[in-house]
Parts: sequence; structure tokens; C-alpha cells
Amino acid sequence: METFLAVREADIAGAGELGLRELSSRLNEALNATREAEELEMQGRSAEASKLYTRAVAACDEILASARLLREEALRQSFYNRIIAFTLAPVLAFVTTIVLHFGYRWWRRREVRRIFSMEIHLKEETRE
Amino acid sequence: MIKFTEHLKCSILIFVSATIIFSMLAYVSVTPRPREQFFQIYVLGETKMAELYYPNNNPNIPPGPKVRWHLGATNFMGSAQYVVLKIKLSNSTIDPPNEKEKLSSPAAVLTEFHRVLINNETWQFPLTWRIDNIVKMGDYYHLSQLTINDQNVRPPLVYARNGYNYRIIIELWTLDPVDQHFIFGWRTGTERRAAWLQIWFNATLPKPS
Repeated sequence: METFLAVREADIAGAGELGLRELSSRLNEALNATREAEELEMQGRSAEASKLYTRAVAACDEILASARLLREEALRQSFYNRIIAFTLAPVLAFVTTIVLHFGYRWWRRREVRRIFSMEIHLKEETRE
Repeated sequence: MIKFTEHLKCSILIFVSATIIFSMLAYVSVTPRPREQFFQIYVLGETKMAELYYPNNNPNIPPGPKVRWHLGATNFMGSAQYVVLKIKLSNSTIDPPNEKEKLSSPAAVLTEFHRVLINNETWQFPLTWRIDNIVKMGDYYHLSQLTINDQNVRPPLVYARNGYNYRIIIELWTLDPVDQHFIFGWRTGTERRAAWLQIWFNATLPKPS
């Protein structure tokens, strides 16, 4: 149960699907081994059951350690993602302002130049 | 001293507005969207389709022939879940699960299957069972021996008049991470939900040769 909760916490922390899939697959193998050990125990094959059970417990310990590492890594990554996202906001705003500022200046100059380069032509009036 | 021309004022306004818009976009991108959390369970027949649930498509099942089903569950809970599918044997008088009260069926468990499912993962596996022996007591029958996925199972006493209206109930249980014990159905926030299935059949005695 503790192992599953550790895997779940890693998932909630935002761990990648590949890592989670691998952990859940190992956890399912450990669960199957536990079930097999229970069946062997019921059949009276205690020595084999005990061996299998010990292996399952060792696998669970390994998964627990991996899940904790994965969770820490996911939390760190998620923290960095937040920092980057919120730092990027004023940077992008600044770039947008600069682009708009110079864009507007360029457009205004172009318009002024266009107006000053205009020539006046008299329209010929048709005689009636 | 900075002279606040119209142009500078306009630029400051654009910068503040753009900062607000980009901050909102950053917040939306790092915040997971709330989604409906649920499980899906299903039973398919031997062709992995919603058909042929019984040998020769006949719901009257004598001892011997294997009944081949495929059970499946999909996790749409948004996180890894520990799932248990409980297979129960019931008749027409034992209560089925109560979805309103979130009570599982009081029928006894024949076997159960455990699995950890990550989000969006589907788990499908074959469930093959057969009646090994039927005991007749007056008008009532009971199944004294079953084989489920090559494991012998001695079901509890579940009687059915002339073997009619037995049912296999499949219930979905999950490990509740808050209380840390298994619950019938699952919890989404403050709400509890449940999912279960049932398939009816009749147990028949082999025809005398």
C-alpha cells in the first residue's frame, strides 16, 4: 500500500508517463508475486511461498525508492516550469511593447512621408 | 526627470496589459485543468465483442464447458489507481450492489483481481470459468465446485430453484488514498461513485445418457 501511495504521489507531482508506466508495471509484477505466494501458502508449499514473498517485498522497496526519486524530480521540474512560465510573462510583455513601439514609429513615419510626397492635381471640369 | 509624453504613457499601458495577458497564459499553462474522474468497466464475450457470452450462445450451462469472457477496466481518474475487480456468485434473491447507498453486494467473493492502473490505462484480461459440479437438493441446485482461470474454487452455498437465475457480479473496488483501505467504487472529491456488472445464467444438470 505504501508503495502504491508513493507511485500515486509521483503521478500527482507530475511525473512523466514513461517513468510511471515502468513503476506501475514493476508494482503489478510484485502484486502478482504476492498473490502467487498466497496461493502457494494455501497449497502448503511454505518454503516456495516465503521465497516469492521475500522477492516481492524487495521489489516493493526498490519501487518505493524509485517512486520517491521520481516524485522529487517531478516536483523540481514542475517548480522550474512555473518559474520559467512566470518569468517569461514580463519578458514577452517587454518584447511586445518594444515591437509595437517601433512598429508604430515606423508606420507613422511612412504615413507622414506618404502624405508629404503627394502631388496636387486639378480635376478637369467637364464643359456643359 | 522623465517626461510622460503621450507616447510613453501608451507604451507603459501596453506593457502592463501584455504582462497581465502573458501572466494569465502562464497560469493556465501550468495549472492542470479539472476533468471528470471516473472508471469504465466492461465484460466481453469469447470473441472480445459484446456477444457470445455463453458456450454455444446458450445461457443454460451444464458442468464441463468453459465460459470465456474478457474483463476490462479503464482508469480516467487523472492519477494512478489501485483497482480490484471482485467476482461474486449470486442468485435472484441476494441483493445486487446498491449504487445509491454505495453498498456492495452481500454475495460471497469467488475470486478477485488486483492491478495498479496509471491514468488512461486500460487493463483487459481473460476470465475463463466452468462449472465442475452441481449438487441437487430437492428443487434447488447449488454449484459446489467451479474452476476460474485454472484455479479450483469452492463457492459458498448459493441456491437457485432448478438452477435458474444465477448471476456473476463483477464489482470495481479501489484503494482510497485518504482512508487507506479498499472501498466499493471510487471517490471523486466529496462524491462517491460505483460501477458494477452482472451476467445471468442457468445451471443445468448434464443430460442422462
